[in-house]
Amino acid sequence: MDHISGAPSLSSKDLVRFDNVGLRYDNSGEVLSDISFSLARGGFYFVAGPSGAGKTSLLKLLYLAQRPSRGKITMFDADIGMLERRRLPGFRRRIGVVFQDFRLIPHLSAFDNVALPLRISGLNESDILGPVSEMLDWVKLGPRMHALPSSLSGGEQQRVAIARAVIGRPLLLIADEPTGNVDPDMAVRLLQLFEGLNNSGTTVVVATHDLHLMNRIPGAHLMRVAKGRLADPTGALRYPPASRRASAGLA
Amino acid sequence: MSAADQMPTPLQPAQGLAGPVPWMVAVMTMLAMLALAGALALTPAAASLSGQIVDRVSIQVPIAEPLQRRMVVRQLRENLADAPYVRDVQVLSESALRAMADQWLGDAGEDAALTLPAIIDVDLVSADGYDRLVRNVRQISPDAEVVPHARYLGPVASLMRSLGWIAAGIALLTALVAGAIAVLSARSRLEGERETIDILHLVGATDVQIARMFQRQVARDTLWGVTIGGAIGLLLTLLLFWQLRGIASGLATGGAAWSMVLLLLIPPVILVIAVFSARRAVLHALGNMV
Ligand SMILES: Nc1ncnc2c1ncn2[C@@H]1O[C@H](COP(=O)(O)OP(=O)(O)OP(=O)(O)O)[C@@H](O)[C@H]1O
Ligand SMILES: [Mg+2]
Repeated sequence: MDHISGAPSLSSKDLVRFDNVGLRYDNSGEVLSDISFSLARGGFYFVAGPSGAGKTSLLKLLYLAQRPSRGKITMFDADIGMLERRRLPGFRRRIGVVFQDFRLIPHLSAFDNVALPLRISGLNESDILGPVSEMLDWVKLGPRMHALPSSLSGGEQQRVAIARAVIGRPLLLIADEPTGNVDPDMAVRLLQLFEGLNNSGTTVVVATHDLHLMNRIPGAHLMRVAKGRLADPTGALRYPPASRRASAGLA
Repeated sequence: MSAADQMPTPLQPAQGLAGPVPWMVAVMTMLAMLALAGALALTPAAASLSGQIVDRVSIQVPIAEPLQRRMVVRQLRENLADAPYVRDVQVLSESALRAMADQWLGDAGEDAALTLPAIIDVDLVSADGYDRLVRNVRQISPDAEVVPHARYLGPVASLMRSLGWIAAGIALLTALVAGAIAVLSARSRLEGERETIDILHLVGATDVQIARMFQRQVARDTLWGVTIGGAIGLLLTLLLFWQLRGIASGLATGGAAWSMVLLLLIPPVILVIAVFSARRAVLHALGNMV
């Protein structure tokens, strides 16, 4: 029904690549500077750093809520800085987001909030009921599925937000402090959800203060953000700078 | 229709009749219908009036002595009936004249002391025949006076025509104002829904999908408005036509069915204008977002 032009193509090994990206809000200074990294398809990444370091800002670039002020972001093999506005929905439909402040729609029940991405992408109602109910059961909100967000606790709202982010089986899942409001058992359970999705191919990026979570995912990478810059002591996130210089020299 | 069109709306629930929009639209719809009704009544009336007057004249023969007056009238009628520039000659009967006078004067008219002029209505083949007619009449009776109808009905007809155009203009303007109301209400809703719009965008909603959600709310509000306003407008119009038929019989005739169709088109036209303008306004605003 809604024709999204230019669906992202999925050929290269890297799902996302940042080249010297900077971000500024308004006319103040840069909150992110010289950010360069790449995310491998199917990888699991944690973003850590002190409050105000720029974790959420980095994720906003990843979930296409902001465009970079400078530098180049390549996602799904497209240059995001040059991407036409009308192509954004097609990209965003492949990204699931758990917002730090949940951002549930207040007039919609838990069920309808979770069903939102499926309905937006044009699925039939008959294909929505089953998966959404199942997902709500998994996050233990089955009995509360008709409740409005305002009548849910913080932890329950967070679980609705997570269910909404994963329901569409996104290629890229971005979660901003997704376990900040739930008890440790539920945190582990939610992480299992992410892991399951990751095992079936989704690239996962989780911003968190809770480094204990990291230990539960073997093979996960850590991106440390401090004062708007990416610290990458192991160099694991960097693509070889030499090859970039070489290709620049050839051009 | 996909799931996105049937889904429960993520926007704030529409206020419906509790909000001001349906009522403003209702008033505009009613005014547009009344104005159009006025235009529709005046235009054919003015047309039939001016159709009647251009080539019609009356000859008054103010001779008191009845025998002489009747003779002059007969002379005039016979002469004019043969004239090539005359289409039709009608002599108003004395009894008809007497009845007309009675309407104005009451029983006083019965006193034979009051003498009435004879009146001959003449339809000319074309208005060009007027000068020849006057010359002809003067030859027969210098006392007779020729009065073209256009002299006293012309200004009335053109006034009616102007009023008709003004009424049509008012109908158009009020319909456009209803559209503007829809735009303003959509814009103010848009302001209050920034957060929801952001979320919808981020889960991959297109501008068209979001605009459609606003459109549906505007359509619902406007539908209430045009229904209420249309019902009242129709009722008032029928009442006015019914009254007008008593007063100005013979003026507002014909095309009644057409007029009804045009009148009943006003509510749906306003609905379409409102929804279309709201859609444009929303799409424009969305286009300026990230
Ligand atoms: N919309 C905005 N407009 C202007 N400045 C902003 C905006 N959002 C964030 N900032 C600023 O950018 C910097 C980084 O903020 P950000 O939210 O990315 O930090 P964070 O690492 O996510 O912090 P936390 O751990 O508390 O969530 C902060 O100095 C913040 O004040
Ligand atoms: Mg943050």
